[in-house]
Amino acid sequence: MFIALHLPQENDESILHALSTFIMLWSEEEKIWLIDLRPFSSYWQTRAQSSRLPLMSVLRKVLHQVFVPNQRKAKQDVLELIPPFQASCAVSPWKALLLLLSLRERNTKAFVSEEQDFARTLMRELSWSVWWQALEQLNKHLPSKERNALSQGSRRLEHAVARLGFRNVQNMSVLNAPGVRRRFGKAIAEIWQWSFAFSKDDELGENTHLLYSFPWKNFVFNTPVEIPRHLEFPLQMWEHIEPFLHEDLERLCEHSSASIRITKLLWKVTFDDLSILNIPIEFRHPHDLHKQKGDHKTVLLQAYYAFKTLVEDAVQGDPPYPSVLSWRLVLEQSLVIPPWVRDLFGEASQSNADEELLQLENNLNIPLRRFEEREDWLPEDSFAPWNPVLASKQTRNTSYRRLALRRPLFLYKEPQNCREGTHKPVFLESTMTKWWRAKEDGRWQRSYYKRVDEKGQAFWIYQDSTGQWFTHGNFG
Amino acid sequence: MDCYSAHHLELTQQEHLRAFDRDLDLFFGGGLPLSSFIECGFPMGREGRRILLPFLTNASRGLQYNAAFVLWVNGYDNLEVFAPAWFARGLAPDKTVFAQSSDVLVELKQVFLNPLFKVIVIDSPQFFSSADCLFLRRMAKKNRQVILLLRNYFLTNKKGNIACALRFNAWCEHTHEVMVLQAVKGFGSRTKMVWPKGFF
Repeated sequence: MFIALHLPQENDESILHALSTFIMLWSEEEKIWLIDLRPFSSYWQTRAQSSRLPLMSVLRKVLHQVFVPNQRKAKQDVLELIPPFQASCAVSPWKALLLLLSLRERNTKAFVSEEQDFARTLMRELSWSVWWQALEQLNKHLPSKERNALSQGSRRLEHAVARLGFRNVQNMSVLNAPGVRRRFGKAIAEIWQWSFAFSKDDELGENTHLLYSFPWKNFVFNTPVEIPRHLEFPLQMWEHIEPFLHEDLERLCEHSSASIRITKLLWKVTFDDLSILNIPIEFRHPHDLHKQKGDHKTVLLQAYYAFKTLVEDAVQGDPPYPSVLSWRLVLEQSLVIPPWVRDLFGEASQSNADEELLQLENNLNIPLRRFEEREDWLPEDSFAPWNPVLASKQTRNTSYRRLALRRPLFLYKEPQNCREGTHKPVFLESTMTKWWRAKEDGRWQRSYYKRVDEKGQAFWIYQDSTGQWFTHGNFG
Repeated sequence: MDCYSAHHLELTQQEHLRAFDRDLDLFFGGGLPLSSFIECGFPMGREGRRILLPFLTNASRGLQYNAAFVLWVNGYDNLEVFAPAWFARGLAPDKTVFAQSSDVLVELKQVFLNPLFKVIVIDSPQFFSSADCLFLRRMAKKNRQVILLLRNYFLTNKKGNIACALRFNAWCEHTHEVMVLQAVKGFGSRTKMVWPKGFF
């Protein structure tokens, strides 16, 4: 999820670090900022869950405090109906930007999410002046070669719009990506996809690769804190390295604010052959460094996992490995959670089981996963990673539940070719794949059966419309 | 008071995680004993795992104690859990946590040092020594957890496991449409139990 917002001169921009590390100054003249919330979505979702508020309300509360700093001390629980700022929220940064520019064109103060009716209206009535303004701003972030391609494509699009009589931008949604690419070039096709190819479910999936071409440039507010270490003698074993790293983490605590929550440290290690290895120490959930002062168990565990994996990969073969001569510990990514955010959501006093689970997951080198059900007939699409905000909203359809009762406990990662077998399978269900998706290969129908083999093992198999048999699951 | 009620009363005074199924709870002497390490012989595909789902439902939904997290560690590289089928059988989505690991004690050691999970199921790990079993028994006792180790083969008395309080096999007999539970260790005089298959 991305936020686009207009931050007037008088506000302190660095306060945006309360929301995410990934912030981009999109337009210096217009004072427009983009914020990428995706790496911190679990943090904000947990905040939303523990304060029993929808995610949008939590973000609105935080933004309200950013824009109206005088009210921070007053701790207002009731927010004004119309927020004193202009911001928008969408799955793609481009769409968030279009919504924001549309708000600015109407001179309307609001915080809109693309799922809201008002945002849909804004998108439906999006004017060409907003579109060209956004393209002009985008142009400034592109390298010169791509800039020329975009200009050419824009000119062609302008002629086509006049010829086809498209009154507003939404008329373009009837086109398709290959067609747009053929007529107006790659640059316009990508922008078309940013504008129309995403839906609210895409955060979990298949279109996120389209954002790789978005010209994101992270804004750096301050030089990152670095802790250097020059060892008096080279070290090789983790047991010998760990105490020095522990000391450095203590120094990092002294040089950083108590409000930071770390998501990534970079450990730049120099070996005695003068090779340098950058070891990322990453946390799945923002980690409170100061809370573990004196211990630093979480960071040391993650450093150990990263060191073990990367050094073993980088230095293949038998010992002796090169020894470590020196390193620099860099605070690469962190949220800065000011005290007023903690006051808003009571983080300091909160110690529920969900937060313990996040903390425990930060101590592991493999992820722990929770899932939620989706009301979808296709087995692969009937569950998704756990989202506390969505899950609390969902009502479960009993017919899907009954369907799931007849399905197996395990699925094969990829359906495996199999033969019909000698034992007669028991028919369970027939289903259709989503034939309108590009990745479907034309074998749209599946008839599912339970087959018990001669060893007594029960498999979930299906026959597709071409008559081929596949093993899709195992009943456990 | 009938025989079952008397026996039931006696059992509820002990610390057991119940399945809330009369026969299953009786067979387990009141349910799965808390602070215990249990070994199960569940060959993959024989549907023995379904026996555990009522216990996990109890723990995750808080039917007996406060709702707690349960963890299922899947040791099969080519298989992933199909979550809707688990939730349809009663488990609470917000409390059911899955992990994929075949080297559990290396990759998930911190999990066992923490009392957060009430029930931990280690499904067919590739690497698991008898020292690991003793470590898990100690942790289960310390953290008042039930830790279950599932083997992809039937257990026998020929090769024992001193770390486990209970050892049993379970499977579905598809020809007779019944579910069978066979005691190997720790069940006293109870040796075998058979349910109609649709029961679980």
